[in-house]
Amino acid sequence: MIENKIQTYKDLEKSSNTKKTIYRWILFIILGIFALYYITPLYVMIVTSLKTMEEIRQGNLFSLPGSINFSSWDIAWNGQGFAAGDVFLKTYFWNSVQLVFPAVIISTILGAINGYALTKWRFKGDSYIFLLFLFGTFIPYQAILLPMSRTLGFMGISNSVYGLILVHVVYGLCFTTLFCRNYYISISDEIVKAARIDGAGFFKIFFKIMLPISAPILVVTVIWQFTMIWNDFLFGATFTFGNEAPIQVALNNMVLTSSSVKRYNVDMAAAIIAGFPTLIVYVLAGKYFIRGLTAGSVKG
Amino acid sequence: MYWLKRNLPRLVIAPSFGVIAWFVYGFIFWTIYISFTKSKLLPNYEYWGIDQYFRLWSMPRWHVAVENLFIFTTLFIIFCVFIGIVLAILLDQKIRAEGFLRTIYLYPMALSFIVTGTAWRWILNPSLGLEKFMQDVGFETFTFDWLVTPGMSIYTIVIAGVWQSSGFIMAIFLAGLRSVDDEIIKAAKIDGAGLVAVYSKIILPMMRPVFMSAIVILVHLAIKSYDLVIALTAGGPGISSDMPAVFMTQMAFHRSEIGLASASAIMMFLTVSAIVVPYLYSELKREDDRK
Amino acid sequence: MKLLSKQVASHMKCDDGKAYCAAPVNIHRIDWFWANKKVLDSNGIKMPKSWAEFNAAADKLQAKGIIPLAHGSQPWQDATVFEAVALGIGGNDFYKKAFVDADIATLSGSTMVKVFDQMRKLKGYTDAGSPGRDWNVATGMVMEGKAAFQLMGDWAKGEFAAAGLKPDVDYYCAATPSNNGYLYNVDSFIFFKVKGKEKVEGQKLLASLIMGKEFQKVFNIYKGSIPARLDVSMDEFDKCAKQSNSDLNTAAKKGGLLPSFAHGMTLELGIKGAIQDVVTEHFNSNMSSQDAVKKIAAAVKAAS
Repeated sequence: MIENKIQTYKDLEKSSNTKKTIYRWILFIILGIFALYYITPLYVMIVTSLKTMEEIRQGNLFSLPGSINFSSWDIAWNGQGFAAGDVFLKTYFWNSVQLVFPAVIISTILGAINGYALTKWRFKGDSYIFLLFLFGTFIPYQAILLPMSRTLGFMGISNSVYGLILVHVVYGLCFTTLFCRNYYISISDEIVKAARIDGAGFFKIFFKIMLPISAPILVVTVIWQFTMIWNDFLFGATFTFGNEAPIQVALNNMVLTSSSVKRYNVDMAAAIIAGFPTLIVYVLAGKYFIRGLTAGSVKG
Repeated sequence: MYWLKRNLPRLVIAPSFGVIAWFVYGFIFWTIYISFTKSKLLPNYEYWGIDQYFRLWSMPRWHVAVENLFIFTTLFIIFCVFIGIVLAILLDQKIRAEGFLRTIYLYPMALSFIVTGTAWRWILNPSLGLEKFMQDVGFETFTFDWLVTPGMSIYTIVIAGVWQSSGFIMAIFLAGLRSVDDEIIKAAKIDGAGLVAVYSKIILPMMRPVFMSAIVILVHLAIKSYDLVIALTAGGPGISSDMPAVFMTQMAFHRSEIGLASASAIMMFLTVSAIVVPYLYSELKREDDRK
Repeated sequence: MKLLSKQVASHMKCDDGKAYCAAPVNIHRIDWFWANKKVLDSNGIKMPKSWAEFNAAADKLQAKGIIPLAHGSQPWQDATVFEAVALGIGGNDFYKKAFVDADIATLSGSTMVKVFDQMRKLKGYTDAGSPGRDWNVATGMVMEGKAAFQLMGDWAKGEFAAAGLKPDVDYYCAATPSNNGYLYNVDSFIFFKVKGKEKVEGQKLLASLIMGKEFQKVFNIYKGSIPARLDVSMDEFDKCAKQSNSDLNTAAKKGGLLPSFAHGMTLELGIKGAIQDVVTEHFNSNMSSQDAVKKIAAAVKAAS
């Protein structure tokens, strides 16, 4: 009798295990199909950049190159020499590098100090001030393009990397202040209050207490700013042209200009080069970034 | 000395605040003012009334842009949210490959819109991309020439935009799902609720704030769409995939119509505000209520 | 001795024609047809002298599976084709009234309807891949023999030259059908008011270099255009350039020398843009010629 019952239990367990396995398989298949959707463009870009134009014409989107051919990468980076009237990426890559480091550092530091001041040193009207920063993250930049280009002209920094640094610091300030403020507000006030009673001042508390525990949010802010600024096209296209342009503008120009034969392999190589830095940052540090970002919107 | 100490926080904020006041709000007011003038190539500060807005709304091209914005935003939100929720729920099932899959779903967000547009322009190219591939594999009559068809080009922007942003929506939903208290789920399961019921009747309704955040972010991204349009279709064929952001730049910098461009920019600003201001207001109320 | 023709000179002046503020590097001609010699010869087609002739030739080529007109449908290219067609179908006076004077009656008249009819016909002679295609990729199609004709300004000649192809050997060049019309575009360097004696001296030096005979000759041989300066010898230029130069003089005498609106030589940018929008929309859709004409008149009115 007991053997029967045990057998029934075993059978039930087996059938529910089978059900679970089937569900798991369906789950993996669906997840796998989506993974293909996301990966395919990257695969196509890489594969196309390694082919020769002949192979591109003969083959199709997904076919592998006959041999790994980095010549289009070289052309994308160094150009083909003056005669072809090329756009190539080297100069503009360095423009973006020169732009991104100062802009990220300045806007992050200011954002941290602002967030700290707004949350640990309450004063009258501070929530309204924060609201203005918050709203500033939503504005469409079209509403400030015209006055900004005139202002840059007046200041003499139009069409220069300094102009772009200014623009990115100004509009990044809203985001960095937002991130840091949301982070600091969830840190207990008690430590700060105790330190104030002990006689510590504004900056001392910032450097000795807040900054050391700010690593998570600083990582988020730096990655966010780096990505936004490196990937920017609108400001670059509006406020610079020619040799001062940042890399996304150069990429777009390169893809749009061509000689009578469109060099798809070079275009793809250029796109990968342009996307590489942010991709690397994301792969290495992405999970901190997502963790930080999503914490804000979930808690509300 | 004491005054300095007492006001230090305000002094520290002041430069940033001043910068924002000038470069954000001051500039927006300038743009609003210019939209009320006859300015063409250079600003003309004489007040002209709201005629620029009449001119704007009488232009067929602006109507195309607005219609496209509406189509794009609606589809963009629907697909990003749907895919985001589905992927989040699937990934919530405690899989070993979760980290790896999350990386794959999210990396498009790290790329710029120009890179995305360039890649998809290649994939959707009728003679060399997806269409040719399907034909080569045997589907001889397969066509996918949306990129060069006037009425359909806007949908290619949807495809590329969803590819880029849906992973991010998945991430915020996943974080939301994970923040639901385990006890509630356990209680429901003890009461006999199946997996589907647990999700649809308990967890998803609790996701309201996440829905709100997602929609606000997506609307904001959609209205700002400039880079993606430029890289993928350049507003074409003709002007069929024009969007307000592209329209504004064309008018301002290629047509010497800065009054008209300012009017279009302010229309964009008002649209964003109409969505964001109520949202911010309700969020602040919630924070106040919790205090 | 006059160095510049009156027309070109007038474009270079500011302050109501009182002073020069720009130096011209060349004169481009917009209304050219470029054709693949082999394709035309083997089908017994000559460069068309009228638009009806072009349509007949195009039909013949299409029946043989050759793309009659290589085109890249970007707004400025559509406008380029449009103005050449308008010049040919409507005539020189029509062009002047419509695109220099922006006369609404002309823009909304029956001749304009005929222009759009021809544009619709031309659309039928292009291939499905033309939307968004770059102009020089279209030139490549003619070079390879995939397509027979391209309507493009003389900078297209630079593409042929870069590929080592020669006029009358590998390709034909001829003006698009018109009555001694000539649509020109002048590239120039504008000199803004600057402060400081050195800067002004520098500007004068640059201006005189640009106007120098040697520069005008060498630059234009490579660029595909012809010198703006009147007394440069055309001996070292190729057949198409020589043709362009003599056509320029004929057109000037017969009142057909007209500025290109598609390339910004006439019309306020806002009006030009409005016209371009209608032209490209019509070309890329099923819009009727009547609707296009109504739209173009309305657009110009609104943009004025």
